[in-house]
Amino acid sequence: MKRTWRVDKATMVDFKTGSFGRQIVSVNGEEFYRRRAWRGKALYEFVVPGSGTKAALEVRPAVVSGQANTELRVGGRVIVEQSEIIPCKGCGKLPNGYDAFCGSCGKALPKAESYTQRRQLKSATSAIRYLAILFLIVGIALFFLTKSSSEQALTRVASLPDSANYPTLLAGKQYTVGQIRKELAWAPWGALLVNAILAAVMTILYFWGKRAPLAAILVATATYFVVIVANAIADPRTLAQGLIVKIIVIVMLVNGIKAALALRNDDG
Amino acid sequence: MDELPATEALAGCPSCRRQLQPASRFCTHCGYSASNVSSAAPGRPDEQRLQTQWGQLKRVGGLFLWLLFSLLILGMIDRGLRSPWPEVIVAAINAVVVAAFAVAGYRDLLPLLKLPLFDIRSALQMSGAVIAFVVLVSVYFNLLAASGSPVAHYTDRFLAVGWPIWSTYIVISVAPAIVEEVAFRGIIQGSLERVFSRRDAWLIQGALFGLLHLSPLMFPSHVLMGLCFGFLRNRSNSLYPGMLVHGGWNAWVIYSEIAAH
Repeated sequence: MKRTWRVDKATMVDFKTGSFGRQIVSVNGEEFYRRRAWRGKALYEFVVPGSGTKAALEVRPAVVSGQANTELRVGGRVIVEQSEIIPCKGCGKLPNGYDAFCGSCGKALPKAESYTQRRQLKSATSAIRYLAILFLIVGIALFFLTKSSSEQALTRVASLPDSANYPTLLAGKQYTVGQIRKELAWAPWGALLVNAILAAVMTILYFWGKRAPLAAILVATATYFVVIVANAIADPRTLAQGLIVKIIVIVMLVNGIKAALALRNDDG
Repeated sequence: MDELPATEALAGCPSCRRQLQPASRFCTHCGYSASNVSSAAPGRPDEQRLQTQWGQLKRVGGLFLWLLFSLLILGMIDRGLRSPWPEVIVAAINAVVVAAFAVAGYRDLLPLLKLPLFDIRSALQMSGAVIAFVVLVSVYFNLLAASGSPVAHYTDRFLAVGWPIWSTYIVISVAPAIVEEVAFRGIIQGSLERVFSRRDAWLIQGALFGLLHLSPLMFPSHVLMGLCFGFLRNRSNSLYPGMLVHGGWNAWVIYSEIAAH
């Protein structure tokens, strides 16, 4: 694994990991550190050549992904992990990676945290798109499943007239056979329509998210909570079904709200 | 903007005292420019504003999730039960919670509790919005009924246990008109206006209002209702016209159901 940071026009920092926990830090191709770190965090300190600014690379082992988490700070400011410097949006000049403001036009430069927030925002809008696709697929699947079971149920009452009472009470209520037939005929279309409306809502929110991400993610989060609660009211067992996926989606959406809010303030 | 004076460039930034880069017109650490000391940190996000906006969103989320949670509890205890009591108790608890939220943010809510003041033009726009809402929602419900969609009857359980008709009007018409208008057009729309533009806040509260009725089939009609009541609130700067139309619509639904019964 190799990671690269462009600190300024003349300085490039590389971090490499090798076999048996070997970690190599090099500045402009020249190795500064080479050591083995099995566990715990490692801190590599050095001075940026030319500017003389103090720099520190922190490496923390990641349990889940297996890839180390790295954070390079130069002059106390986190540097974005990329091989090229992004030009200033105000004047197009190339600032140093650790500058908070453009020295040429004075425009505030995006923080490294902004890049993380942009990633979170992208994840949240992707989640909205996936939910739209999911609702559509579930709607189509439920349509065929419900249609099949409705047809089976309809054959059981085929010999009874519409005006006859259905032999058993449903949810404590007496229905006629005609009412049952009507409900059974509607059931597959109802399942399809409900999921199609949800898919349409999520699609609208996805496109709205391109113009107003905060508002769209906020409504998408509310929609997702409502779907969970509506399903739980119909069948409380669904609350526990796919719990981890539900938590992941909610975390993605809530992080998306926070990121969209911070970025909106950042962009003024 | 002016360039930093040469003497300052040599001595360091006058604002943050850090070393300046050669030929820089601005300090790359604090954004200081020679022309204006207050220009330090231009465009830097205002942390306090961010915290305030996040607080407002948490307020909206808190109230919305509470109302959603109360519906979940109602749905759970209501299964197979044919008494209107759970609905009445949950409505009463919700009224208390909404009142607590209203008291906590009474400064925002107070101006909306004054009698509405509007000119002829606003009155005509509001009347047009109400007529459009009634026509569109009626057409939508008729389309649903024609498609064979099961129609929910709100009054069934009240009539089944022999409760007087006036109690049905209070629980289904008057109480939601007051509580939901204070919650959605008062607290939620008010908080959203501190984060979003007036138009976006209006759209979001409409969507949240539609969502909280928990039925995808009712979502389009209830979004329309939320938008109509929000429009009345924006035009009149008061919650009362919305309450009146909301209560009137619910009363009309009850009347239609009782008449059909």
